[in-house]
Amino acid sequence: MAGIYDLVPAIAALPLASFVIALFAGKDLPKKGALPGILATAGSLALSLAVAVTVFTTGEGFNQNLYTFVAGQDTFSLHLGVLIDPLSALMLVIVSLIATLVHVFSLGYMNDEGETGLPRYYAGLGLFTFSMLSFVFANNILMAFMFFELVGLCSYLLIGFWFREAGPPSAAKKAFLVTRFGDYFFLVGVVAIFATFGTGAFAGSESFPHLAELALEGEYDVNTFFGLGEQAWFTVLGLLVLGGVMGKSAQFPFHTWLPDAMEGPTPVSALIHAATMVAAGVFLVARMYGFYALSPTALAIIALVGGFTALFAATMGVVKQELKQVLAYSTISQYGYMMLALGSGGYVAAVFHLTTHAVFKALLFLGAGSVIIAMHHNENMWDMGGLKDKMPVTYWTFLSGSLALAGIVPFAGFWSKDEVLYEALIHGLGTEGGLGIVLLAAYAMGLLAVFFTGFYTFRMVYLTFHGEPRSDIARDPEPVRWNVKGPLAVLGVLAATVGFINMVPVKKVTGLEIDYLHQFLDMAPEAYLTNVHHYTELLETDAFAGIHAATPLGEVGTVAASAAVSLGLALAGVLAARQLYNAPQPVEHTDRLGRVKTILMHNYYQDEYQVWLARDVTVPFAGVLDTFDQGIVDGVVNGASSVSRTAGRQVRKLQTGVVTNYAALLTLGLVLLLAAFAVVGGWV
Amino acid sequence: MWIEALILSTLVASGIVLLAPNRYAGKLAAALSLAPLALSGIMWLNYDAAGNALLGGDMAYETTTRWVEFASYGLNWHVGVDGISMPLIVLTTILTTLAIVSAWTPIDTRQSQFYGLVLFLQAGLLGVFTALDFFVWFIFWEVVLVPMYFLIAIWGGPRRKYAAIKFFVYTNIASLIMFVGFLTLVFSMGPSVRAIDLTQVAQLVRTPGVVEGIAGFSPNTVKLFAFTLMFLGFAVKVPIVPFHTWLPDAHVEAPTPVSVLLAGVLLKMGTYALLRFNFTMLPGVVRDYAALIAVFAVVSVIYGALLALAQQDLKRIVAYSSISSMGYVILGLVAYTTHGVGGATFQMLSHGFISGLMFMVVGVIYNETHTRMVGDMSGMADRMPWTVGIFVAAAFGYMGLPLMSGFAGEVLVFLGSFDSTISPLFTAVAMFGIVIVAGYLLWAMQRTLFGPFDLETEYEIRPRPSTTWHRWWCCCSVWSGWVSTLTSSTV
Repeated sequence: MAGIYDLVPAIAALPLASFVIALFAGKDLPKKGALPGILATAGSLALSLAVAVTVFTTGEGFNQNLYTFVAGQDTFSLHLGVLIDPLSALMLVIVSLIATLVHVFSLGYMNDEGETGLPRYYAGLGLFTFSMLSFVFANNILMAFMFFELVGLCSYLLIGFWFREAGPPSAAKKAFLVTRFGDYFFLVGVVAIFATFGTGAFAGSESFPHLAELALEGEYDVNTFFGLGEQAWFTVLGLLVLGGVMGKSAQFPFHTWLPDAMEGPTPVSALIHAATMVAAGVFLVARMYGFYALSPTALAIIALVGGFTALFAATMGVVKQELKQVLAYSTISQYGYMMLALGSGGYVAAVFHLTTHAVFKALLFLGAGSVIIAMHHNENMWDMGGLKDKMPVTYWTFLSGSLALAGIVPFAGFWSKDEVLYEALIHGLGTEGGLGIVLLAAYAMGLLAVFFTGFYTFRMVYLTFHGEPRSDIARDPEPVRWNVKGPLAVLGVLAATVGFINMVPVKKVTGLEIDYLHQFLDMAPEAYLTNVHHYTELLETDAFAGIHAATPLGEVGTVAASAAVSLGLALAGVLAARQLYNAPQPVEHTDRLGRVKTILMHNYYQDEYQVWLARDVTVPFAGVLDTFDQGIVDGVVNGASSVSRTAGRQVRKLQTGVVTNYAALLTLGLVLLLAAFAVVGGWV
Repeated sequence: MWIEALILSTLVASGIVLLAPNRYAGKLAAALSLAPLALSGIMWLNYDAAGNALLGGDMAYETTTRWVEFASYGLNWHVGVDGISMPLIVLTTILTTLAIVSAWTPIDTRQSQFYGLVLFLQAGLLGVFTALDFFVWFIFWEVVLVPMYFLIAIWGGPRRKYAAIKFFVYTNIASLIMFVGFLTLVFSMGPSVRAIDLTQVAQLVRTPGVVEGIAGFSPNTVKLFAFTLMFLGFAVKVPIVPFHTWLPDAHVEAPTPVSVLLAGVLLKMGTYALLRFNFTMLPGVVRDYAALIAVFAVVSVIYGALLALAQQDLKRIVAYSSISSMGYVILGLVAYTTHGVGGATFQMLSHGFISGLMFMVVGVIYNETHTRMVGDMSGMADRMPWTVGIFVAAAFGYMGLPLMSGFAGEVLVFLGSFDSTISPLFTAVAMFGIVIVAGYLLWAMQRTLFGPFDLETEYEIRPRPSTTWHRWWCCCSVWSGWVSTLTSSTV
C-alpha cells in the first residue's frame, strides 16, 4: 500500500539518469538524448500518478529524512528527505506531466529543426526536471533552497542555450542574477529559521511552522534576534523567504528577468518559465503556509505584491508585438493572482490556479512554439495572421488555452481565477483593520487585471490566427508533425476540463460536494499539520492572521456576484479585442495611447533602473574601490618599503670608503661622548 | 613513521627531479609525486582521529622524539595529524600532482629546477600541516617561502621580480611578527613551560592563571598582545583585508601551476595557523574581540568581491575572489560554533579544489589565446567547448551552487555564525557575497565565453584542439572537480 512511497526518490532519480546519459552519450544516441529524457520523465509521471492515487485513496503521507549530510553534535543536523502530502503529490504530477510533454514537443521543435548541441539541451532538461521534482518533495527548507538554486542553474543553462548569439547569454545572466538576488534573502531566511527553531522541517509537530505557532501561544521558547518580539521576528523570517519567492515567481520588482528569458528555446519557456520553475516560488509559500498564516503583515504584503503584479504585468502585455512576450507578461500576471490568493487566505484557490495555469500556460507556450516553427522563428505577431486555417490543431488548442487564460467559463482558468478573486473579496470584506483594506485593494487590482487579461489574450489570438496573412511565411507556413500536435492536443483537452476539479460556485449553488481539490488537499495527515482545515484555523485565529470571511449577499449570492463580475470583465476584454483586432487587416490601436504606450513598451523603465543600478552604480563603485586598493592600501605597503629603502640609501652615504671621513666621524663621536659624560657626570 | 615517510618521499623526489634532464623532468616529477599522493591516501583511509588535537581530540600517526636541548627548553620532533590537518594534507598531495601535470605545457625552460622546487614546496607544506612542535613548525613555515619565491621570480610574468620580492618580504615580515607574538605567550608562562610543543602550550595557555604578566602588564594584556601579533602575522598569509595586496600581484605574475598551489594550499596555511594558534589557544581573547575580527572577515568578503568586480584580468578576478572566499573561513572560525568551525574547515578544502580548478581553466585559455583580459576575447565556447564547460562548472562551484562543495562550506559557516557570539548582522552582510560573486563571474563568463567568437590576439584557435596536453588538462580539471564534489559528502 504505502510501499510506493519508497520509490519517491526514483521520481527524481530517473531524470537525473537521463541527464547523465544525454550529457555523456547523447551524441551517439538516435535522437541525441531525447529518448532517455522521454522515458525518464514518463517513468516519473507514472510514479507520481501512483503516489498521488495512493495519497488520495489511503489518505496517508510520507515524511522521512533519508540522508543526513551534516550530523551536528550538540546542534542541529542537516538532512535530505521526502515529504509526500496532497500538495507535493499534486505538484509532482504537474511537473512530470509537463516535463514529459515538453520532451516530446522538443523532438519537433529542436530535433526536426536541425539544432546542434542537442545533448546539452536534453541534459539541461533532465537536470531541470530532477531539480524541480526534488524541490517539490523536499521535506525541509534547506533542501528546498538547494534545489531551488539548482533549478536556477538549469534555467541559466537553457536560456543561454544559443550561446553563440549575443542576446541569450545576457538574458541568462540576468535571470540568474535577479533570482539570486532574491535567493540571497531566502538563504538569510533559511539560516535564520535554523537559528531560531533549530529545524527546517516543513511538516509535523517538530516542524518550524508548528514551533512558531506554539511560540506565539507561549508554549515554546525560541531564539529571536535584534530584540524583536516573536510575531515581528516571524514576520521578518517570512519576508526574507519571500525574497526568494518573488525572485523565482517573477513578482514585482524582481519580474524583469522573465521576459528576457524568452531568449531560450520555446519548449524551455513552456517548461521552466511558465509551468514549473516560476511556480516554485508560489509553491514554496504554499508549502510553508502554516508559517505565513501566523503573520498578518506578511500576508498583507504577499497579497499586495500579488495584486499589484497581476495588474502591472497585464498592462504591459497589452502592447507587446511578439507572441512570446505577451505570454511572458501574462505569466507574471497570473503568478500575481496566485500570490494574491495566498495573501488573502485562499490556500486552495492558489494551488488550484497553480494547477490550471501550469496546464494552460504550458499549452499556450507550446502552441506559440508550433507557430514559431511554422513562421520560421519569426515571433512578431504583425507578420502573422490567418494561421487559423493552415494549422487547425494548433489554432483550436491555442484557443482552448486562451479561453482558459482569459477566464471564460467553463475553461480551467475561469474556475481558478474566479476562486482567487472570490477568496480575496470575502476575506477583504470580513477582515478588520488594515489587513482587510489591503486585501480589498489587492482584490480591486486583481479584478481590473481580468479585463486586461481578456484583452491582451484575444488581441494575441486575433493577430496571430485571424485576418489575412501579413507576410509570405504566414501565407505558406511550415507544417508541424505529430510530436508537436500530440502534446498540444493533450494539454488542449486538459485546459478545457481541468477546472472541473474544483467548481466552487457550482458547489455553493447546488450544494453538491464537488470541490475535489479542496477535499484532496484537506486529506493531508493530521500529524503533518499541512491540511486545509488546520490552515483555516490558523488564519481565523485573531492572535495569528485574524482573517475572516464575510458574504454580504449570502453565500450563494456573493459567489454568484463575484463570478458574474469577473466573467463580465473578462468578456468585456475579449469583446474589446474582437472589436479592434478581428479584421482582415488590423491596425495597431494601442498607438493611440501615445506616451502611455512608450512607457508600457519600456516596461515602466524597470529594466533601465535595474541595469543602471548594476552597471552604472555598482561597477563604478567597484572601480573606485579598486583605485583605493591600488593607491591607498597597496600604496601604504609600497610606501613602507620605499621608506626603508630611502632610509637605507641615506644611511649608506656614511659608508664612503674614505679613511679620513671615518677618522673625522670617529673623532666627532669621541668628542660627543666625552661631552655627554661631562654633562652627566656633573663636571661642568 | 608515516608522516616522516611522506615528507621524506617528497624531499627525495625533489632531489631526483632537480638532477634529472629537463626533457623528462615533468613526467618524472608527476610519477614521483604519486608516492606522497598514495601515502596520504592510505593515511586518509586508515585514519581514525577526529577533532582538534590541541583541544584533546585524537591524533593519528604521531611521533615524538627529543631533538635538541636548548637552555631550559627542549625542542622535539613532534608530528601528527588530526581532523583539521588530515584533509589539508590530502589537498596538498592531490593539488601538487595536478599542478605538476598542468605545468607540462606552459613551463618550457629549466624544467628540472621548476619541478624540483614544486616538490620541495610540497615538502614544506606537508611539514607545516603535520608539525606539532613550534620550532619544527616554524622551520617548515619559512621553508615554504623559498621555493615559492623562486617559482614566481624565475618562471613568472613580466613583473615577476616585483611580485616575488613583495610576496617574500611581506609574508616574511609577517612571520617575524607572529614569531614575537608566540614567544611572548610562551615566555609569559614562565618556568611551567618545558617545551614549545604546541599541544602542551595550548593546554597550559587555556589553564587559568598560568599566563603571568610581563614587565608590569597584566596577563590579559599579554594575551591580547600575543594574540594581536599572531593574528597580524597570519592575516597576511590568509590574506585578510587590508593585508592582501601581495596576493593579486603574486597570482598575476606566477605561472598557472604555481597559482594553483598558491591559492589552493598556501592560503590555507594562514587559516590553519589561525585555527591552531589564535582560536585554539586564546579563545578568551577571541570572545572579547569577536566583533572586531568579524568586521575583518566581512570586509574581506565584500571588499574582495567588489574588487573582483572591477578586474579585467581573469586571473585577478580569481585572485580577488579568493580573498572573498577566505573571508568566509574567518567568519566561521570567529563564530567558534560546531557548524562554524566545521564549515570553515570544509571551506578551506573546497576553496582549495575550486580555486585550483579555476586557475587551471584560465591557464588553458591563456595557453591557447595568450591573453587573459576579458575584453580581448569572446565566444570561446565555440572553439573550446569542453574547457568552457569546465570553466562554467568551476564558476558555479565558486558561486556556492548547492550539491557542489562550495555550498556545503559556505552554508555551514552561515548556519554556524548566525546564532553565535557575534551579531547575526555580520552573517547577513557577509552572505551578500554570494550575489556579488555571481555578478562578476557571470559577467566575465558572458563576455569571454559566450556570444560571437572573436579574439584580439593573433593566435589561431582550431575549432577542436585535441592535442594530448589538452586532454590531460580536461582530465585533471574534471578530476579535481570530482574530488571537490565527492568530499562534500564527507562533511
